[in-house]
Amino acid sequence: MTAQTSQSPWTTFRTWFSRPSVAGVVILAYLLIVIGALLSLNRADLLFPLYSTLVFPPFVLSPLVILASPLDNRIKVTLILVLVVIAMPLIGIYDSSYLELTIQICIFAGLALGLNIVVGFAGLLDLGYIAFFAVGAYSWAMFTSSAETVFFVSGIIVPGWAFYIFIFVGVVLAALVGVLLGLPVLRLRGDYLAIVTLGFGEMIRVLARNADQPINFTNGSQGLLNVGTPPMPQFWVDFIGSIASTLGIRIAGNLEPLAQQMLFYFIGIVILGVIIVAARRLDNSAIGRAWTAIREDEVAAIAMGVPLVKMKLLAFATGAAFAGAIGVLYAAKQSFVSPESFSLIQSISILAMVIVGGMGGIRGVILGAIIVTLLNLQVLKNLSLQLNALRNIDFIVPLINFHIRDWPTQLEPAKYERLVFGLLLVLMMLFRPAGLLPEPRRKLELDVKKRAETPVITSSETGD
Amino acid sequence: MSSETLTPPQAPALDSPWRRLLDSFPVRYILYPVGQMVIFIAGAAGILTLLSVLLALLVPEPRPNIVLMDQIGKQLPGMIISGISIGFVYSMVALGYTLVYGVLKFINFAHSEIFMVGSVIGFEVMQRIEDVGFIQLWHPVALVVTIVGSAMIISGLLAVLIERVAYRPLRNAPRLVPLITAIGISFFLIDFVRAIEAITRNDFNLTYPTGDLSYLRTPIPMTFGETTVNVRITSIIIVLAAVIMLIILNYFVNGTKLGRGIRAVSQDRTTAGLMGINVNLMISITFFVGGALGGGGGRIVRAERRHGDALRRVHSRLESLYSGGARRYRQRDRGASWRANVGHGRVLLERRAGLFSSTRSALYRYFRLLCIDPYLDFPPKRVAW
Amino acid sequence: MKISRKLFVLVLVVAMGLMLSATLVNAQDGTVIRIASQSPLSGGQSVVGTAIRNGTELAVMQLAGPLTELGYTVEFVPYDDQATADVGVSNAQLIVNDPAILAVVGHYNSGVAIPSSEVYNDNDLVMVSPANTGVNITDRGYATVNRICGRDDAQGAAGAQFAATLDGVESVYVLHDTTTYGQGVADFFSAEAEAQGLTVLGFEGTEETANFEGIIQPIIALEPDLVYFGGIYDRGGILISQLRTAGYTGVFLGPDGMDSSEFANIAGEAAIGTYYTTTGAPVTVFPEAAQFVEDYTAEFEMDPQPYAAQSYDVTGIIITAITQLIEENGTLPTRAEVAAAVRATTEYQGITGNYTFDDNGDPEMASYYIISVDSSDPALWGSNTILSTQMIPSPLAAMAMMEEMMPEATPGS
Repeated sequence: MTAQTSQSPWTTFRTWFSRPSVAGVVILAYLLIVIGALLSLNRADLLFPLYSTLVFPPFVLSPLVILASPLDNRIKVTLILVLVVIAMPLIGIYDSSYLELTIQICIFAGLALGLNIVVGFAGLLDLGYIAFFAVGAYSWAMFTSSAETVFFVSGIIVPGWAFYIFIFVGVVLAALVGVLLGLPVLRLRGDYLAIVTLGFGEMIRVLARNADQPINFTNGSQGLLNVGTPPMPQFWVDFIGSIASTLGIRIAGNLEPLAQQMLFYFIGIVILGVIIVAARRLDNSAIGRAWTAIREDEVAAIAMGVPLVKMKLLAFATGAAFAGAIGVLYAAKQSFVSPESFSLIQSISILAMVIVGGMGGIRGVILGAIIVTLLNLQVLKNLSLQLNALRNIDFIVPLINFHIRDWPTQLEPAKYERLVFGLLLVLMMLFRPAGLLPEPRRKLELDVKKRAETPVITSSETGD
Repeated sequence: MSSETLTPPQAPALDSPWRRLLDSFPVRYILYPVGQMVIFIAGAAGILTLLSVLLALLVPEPRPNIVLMDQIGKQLPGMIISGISIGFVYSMVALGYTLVYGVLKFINFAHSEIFMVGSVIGFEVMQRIEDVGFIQLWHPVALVVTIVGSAMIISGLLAVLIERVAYRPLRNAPRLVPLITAIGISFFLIDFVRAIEAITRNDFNLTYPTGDLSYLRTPIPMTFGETTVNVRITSIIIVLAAVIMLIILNYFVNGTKLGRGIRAVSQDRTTAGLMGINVNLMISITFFVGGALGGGGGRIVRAERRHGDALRRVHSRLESLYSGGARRYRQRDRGASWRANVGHGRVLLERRAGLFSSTRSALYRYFRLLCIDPYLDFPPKRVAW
Repeated sequence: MKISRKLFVLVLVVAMGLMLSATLVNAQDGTVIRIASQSPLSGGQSVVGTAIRNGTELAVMQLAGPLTELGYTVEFVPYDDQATADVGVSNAQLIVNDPAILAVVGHYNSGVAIPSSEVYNDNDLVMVSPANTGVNITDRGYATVNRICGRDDAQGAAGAQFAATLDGVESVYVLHDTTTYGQGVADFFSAEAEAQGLTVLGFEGTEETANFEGIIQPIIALEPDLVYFGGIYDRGGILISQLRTAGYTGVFLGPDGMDSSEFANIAGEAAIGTYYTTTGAPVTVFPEAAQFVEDYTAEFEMDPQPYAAQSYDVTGIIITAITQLIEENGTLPTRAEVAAAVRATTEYQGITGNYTFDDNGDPEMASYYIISVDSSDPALWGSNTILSTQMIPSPLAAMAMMEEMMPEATPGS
């Protein structure tokens, strides 16, 4: 880890690379290769799942790569905007499965950033975070689903455009529920807090499952289907269609699903952008410092005049509010909401995102969300599909002469997401407790050995 | 106040025959705890009966042709008996939590997976015995002891291994860190066992056979007034095994030198180390005992349910976590591990009575958690067993 | 900062290497058609779910010949819905985003199929179900949703009529697992049971999976002559074994969810003498399926479970429809065309029967069987006694028949 062997080729490379012109060329080349590779993939290819697993993650990570490069800030912002507004939609038109993955990443990154406020900033371990997500999702789903809920039966069905209002309704509702949870647990710390929040998460799920009697609010375990979507103006569909035809991409079937997804993609990006800005502003504000103080030492924080009750409640409410907004988006995008969507494993996987990326840091948490979401939705699933594709043609691994057909079907990678999560959590905690992109202050706290030699952190390094 | 946990209360001034009788082995380690347990069970059953009768008086005829009072007479005995057997299982699992919590002050989230491993290992051992063809020849008691014993030993060792790998390196880290590894380990174990079963049996979700042991299936009819309740042999095994395990555990923790070492470590790890106690060994032993109890409990309860599925344990984790939580804070003095059986009452009330079904159960759980908060915030200065 | 920079460069170098290797591989231009299956491959219902998967895979291997000759590669992609609606919908989102997938075989649970098929329908992707009996699968009238099995309204009624014919059965207790499927079929059962003059002592839903004690005590206290469980074998098996140990001696009846050798495996001795209704008879009933059983056993080293042969036929229907389209048009058909062609299937001669879809996607004629379990040995599940077989037309087909017979009395006028 330490760069004590100072004249290594590594150091030379780093100094060489830190020159903006070199970095600019490298970054451009990187982007061109990644996008080119992504567009050149062919679904008919035998090894397509594998290639797509190799190529897509570098593309999704490219905004973070750009941010980490020594380029000028304005160039960074321009590049990222180009990626988000032009490159990604084009790739999405080319192959909508990437669009789907990116929307999921937006959703989970938003959730992870919300949890990061509670766990990372304020240091309150919340194992029931998914409950706020559920509150948001159900608030939109209950009023628009065609399941026979009390709202549907009595005709209180909200039109699609109300989606944009309901994002705020979700925020408010979830924040209220966050305060509701926050109030009784104010005096708890550490694992006690974890148990109570875990119980709370379970409680919301059980509530959703059982609130179909005597008055049917949630349609119980059968879930709410046909959840409403925001209205799609015709010009939007035509616009997507014209872009596709200009590029010469044939779209089989009707355009509406694609246009719908594109809409969700942009809504997701906007919500995520707002969340990132909000989180950054909060982190650098007096509130953020108060949270840090509470996280580091509660007693000392009170002594220094930090309003503990207010700040803790604010942390719960803010984290919950993010989840509420994302929940509304999730319900509309998924078009189906059921209690199982909000199980403990979801809470844990969001926690895993925060931990893998690095608690407390915004960039790190987004990295964590990308890694865990891709692992869950793309890498493991694609490896299974790849195995299956090889099984279809009875592929024989050369050298060891192993028939892929003999690989037990029960041993498909997609079935072992828990194993991967579990290992990831344990290994991260053992070897890199501060996460992949550690937040400097937390790193200091955890990395006792390095404490002496680490320079004082200036605030300019914590952000962007 | 705190000294009496370390040294058994021996007051020479009160050295009367009566006192000596109270301090004698059978009274202290068998009669006293078992008596406590019986009182708790009877109390819980009494409260349950009272509540049901009250309800029946309030709601005379919920459905046509059904008189609630009749129904109580018919249903209550069976409810109480099944509640007792489940309560014992939970108490065995909860004890594992309590032991580890007491020593390390951290919640071992992986405990429910040890419970699961115990059941799987028990089934595998039994399968081996059956494969060899000995299963009919073995005496039932020997068979049960072998299976439960092997499940206990292996899950105990597994718990020690988990502690060594995932908890010990993090003992001085912030409290959140081992909690997260514990969650990680629990997730890992679920899928690891599934992977092993998938490789060896090509079956992702096993339904374990109980073997052709008809003596384990024949119920014993018991008559209460006009009602006959079929008590399962496995329920009786559960209660017996739990009582035996609890007696041994109580003696181990409160009556032996090792137990004293464990208690010392739980009070003050550093000082205990300075006093020449091998802290790591004590912690390992704690994990072994806790794991063994969990594994044994897991094996026994599977015997009743006939169904082993790695995933199902997640629920049992929550259940026993709650009951463990509820119990932990009532344990204030010597021998109080028996108070774990307060849980019987809770389990009985919550699961059997159907009083808190569906939505209300969720609310109830939440409020119960809130109710124990005051205890949570002031963890007992000394850990009482 | 130092670390993140190092990490970034490392990621960059590795990524570029991978990228290059990926682009260097020349992607050959082929035309690939994928058929997806969605069924529970893990969890308690994986036994039947795996059968659906395997049946589909076998069909793709054996029946794709005509398409291969036309120059298309047919691939099979299995998805695991874990018998959970949420997972099913997430998978459906992935499936519809793979343009090569032209059809879905599945699901096992109606509660999963209904929300997932909303996603398929939005994307014109055709779904043909070998096993979903819930009425709402087809009653929504979607052009993309079809099935080749029977319906729960007929199945529940058939079960109740059978219950009424049993000696000494006068009262029933109806239990269900609160899923779309279980609750639905239990509803139809209890309605018909009351019409048949039976007393319904209780109608209750439970989400319990392992310990039914709390439910069993009230049931036993009410002393019903028959217990009906609307649900799947993974719970039904446990329920009956716990009912029997608790001293219940009456009849046990279930819907086609009980139809799996796993029921016998879980329930053990308690399975003997129970009854279930089903819409997919054991493969031994169909003389044409002998070769299928042989191939299936050879390929997967296990006996075909219920709905394996039905999945085989479903895949056959899909492949036939796609082949016809390609022969007519010469190009790869769109999803909407495939959906229309599948719906237009008439007189498809499969190994489990002859299938014609009506306008809602129901088979015009479906068979309903009442079967009694004879043995606790899972291997002997296929030889359970079939007590009765009924052919019942789908609601639309029945209406059409009525019109044919009595042209002057048109319904709905």
